[in-house]
Amino acid sequence: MNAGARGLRCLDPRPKLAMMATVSTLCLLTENIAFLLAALCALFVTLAAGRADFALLRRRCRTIFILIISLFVIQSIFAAPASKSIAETYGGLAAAITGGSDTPLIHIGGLSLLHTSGVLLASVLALRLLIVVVSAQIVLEGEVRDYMLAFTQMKLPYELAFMVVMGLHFLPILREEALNAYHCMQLRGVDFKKSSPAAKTKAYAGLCLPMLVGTLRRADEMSVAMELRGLRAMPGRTYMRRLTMNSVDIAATLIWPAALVAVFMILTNR
Amino acid sequence: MKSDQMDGGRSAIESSSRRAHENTNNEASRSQVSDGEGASEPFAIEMNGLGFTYSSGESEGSTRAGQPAFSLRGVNLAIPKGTVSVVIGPSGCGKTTLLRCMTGIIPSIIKGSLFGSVKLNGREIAGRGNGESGSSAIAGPNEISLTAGLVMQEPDHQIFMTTVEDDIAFGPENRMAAPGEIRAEVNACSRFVGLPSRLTDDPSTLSGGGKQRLAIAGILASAPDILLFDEPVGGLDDSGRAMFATLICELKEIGKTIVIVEHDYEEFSYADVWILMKHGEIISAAPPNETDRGLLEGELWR
Repeated sequence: MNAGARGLRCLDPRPKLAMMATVSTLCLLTENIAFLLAALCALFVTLAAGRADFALLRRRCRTIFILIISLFVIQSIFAAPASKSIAETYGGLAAAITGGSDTPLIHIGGLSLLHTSGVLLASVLALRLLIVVVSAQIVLEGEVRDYMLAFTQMKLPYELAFMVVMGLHFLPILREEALNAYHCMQLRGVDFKKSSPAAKTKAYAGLCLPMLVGTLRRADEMSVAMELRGLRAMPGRTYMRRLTMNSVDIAATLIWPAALVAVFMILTNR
Repeated sequence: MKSDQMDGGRSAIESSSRRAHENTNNEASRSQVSDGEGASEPFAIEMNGLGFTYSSGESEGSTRAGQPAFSLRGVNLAIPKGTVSVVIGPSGCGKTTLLRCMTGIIPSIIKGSLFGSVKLNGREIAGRGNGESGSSAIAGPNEISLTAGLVMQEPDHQIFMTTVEDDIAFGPENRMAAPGEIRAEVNACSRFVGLPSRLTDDPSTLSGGGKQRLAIAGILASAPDILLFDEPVGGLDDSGRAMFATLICELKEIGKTIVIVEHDYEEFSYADVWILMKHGEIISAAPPNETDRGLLEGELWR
């Protein structure tokens, strides 16, 4: 962790992983809309209290928002009418808003195109997606190298921890390879902006192979370089730094997930 | 680079090197120098009748009509400890293949027909199919890395951690050094290469020369006796090249054995030996002032 870090950034990675694991698991266990809204609120409050980078979150959400809207529309239209009551499936809040009955909202003749349970199901999926994106932001408020240490201190084999870190490291490399291929094609006269959609598709297809080959080559070179620097030369591995949890980290690891589980139990009547 | 920084780094590197060898020798089954056997060995690198042919289409060496594409043929070489050797030759003469044999990339990772033997500090590199290597042989590039470190042509390819200090620490961590010792080595190596103020920086923010220095620091921290450089000055400007020359002389002074593969030879006049290669064979190995200039400036490149 950086010495000058504040808020979520100065928190140990393990509480952040615990928060993400708890909220992601719980939101998959229920379709209760009140709980999903509460979980989303809890994440936003945590991010605000932890002085998170909301500009980054906004950028990320903007990209994913189109996906969420598309899924919402598709799910709303194509979802089959619910077999159980709305209160039973989506909770009391959903039942109160919709009046508790699964009524058709749009229908042509005898064919029901959109009904209440379809909209609710789409809302659940959209909320779950948002929760995953927002909880990922909590994890992203930290250093990649700290996560590797956290994984190894959680007794995960260091090879696996390295794979996670290398995977993250590879994203910018992939982008770099794509940009290299893109610029090379532009230098050879391909105009991505003025081409017809068919020509554009063909040009983008041409980008894939050099990008893939370039990335595989880089991965191969990197694995050789890691071996040449002694990875797995010894039966184990030591670390220059060691993460230590202070009282705030311990409290965050225990209280935040416990509070969310309590809210889950109350709202879902378990 | 400031000389006082370098001096401080040098003494620390010397002591960390000693500690590293004590540590690795304690690992009975995996020690790089067993029972002091290597300590009395006068040669850091020995190659006897070394020949190699790539098994796939990849060919780095000679191709002669009607003959297999030997990348190396009949290479006999003995590099004494604590010397600087520069391997010079045209593209495709087998220089890189020679380095790959020294680091164990051949035959562990790149397959092909390998003949002869390679010894590092008196211990043979394992991997030939005929089983001549014996049980005391060094197996694989990761174990070889404790004896010989390679600084690649592209520093970007060997820098993979997210901060300068983590990247330097990567080698000692793999060697299972104690945390305090790793910290000391990181500080010493970063001082030695002139990066003490960049420890927490992202390596991608360094200049080309800075990345080169980081790559060297990363290898130095692993405390190998032998340092191998694959075309190290290609991407450096004049000041970077001058810094590199100073660094090599400093490394030689602390007893490291250095092998550099390069096209440009004039700036390596400080080397102990110039090894000239052509068509996968060594055609000359002599001190710079005794090297046949006619050969060096004409025949070698034709």
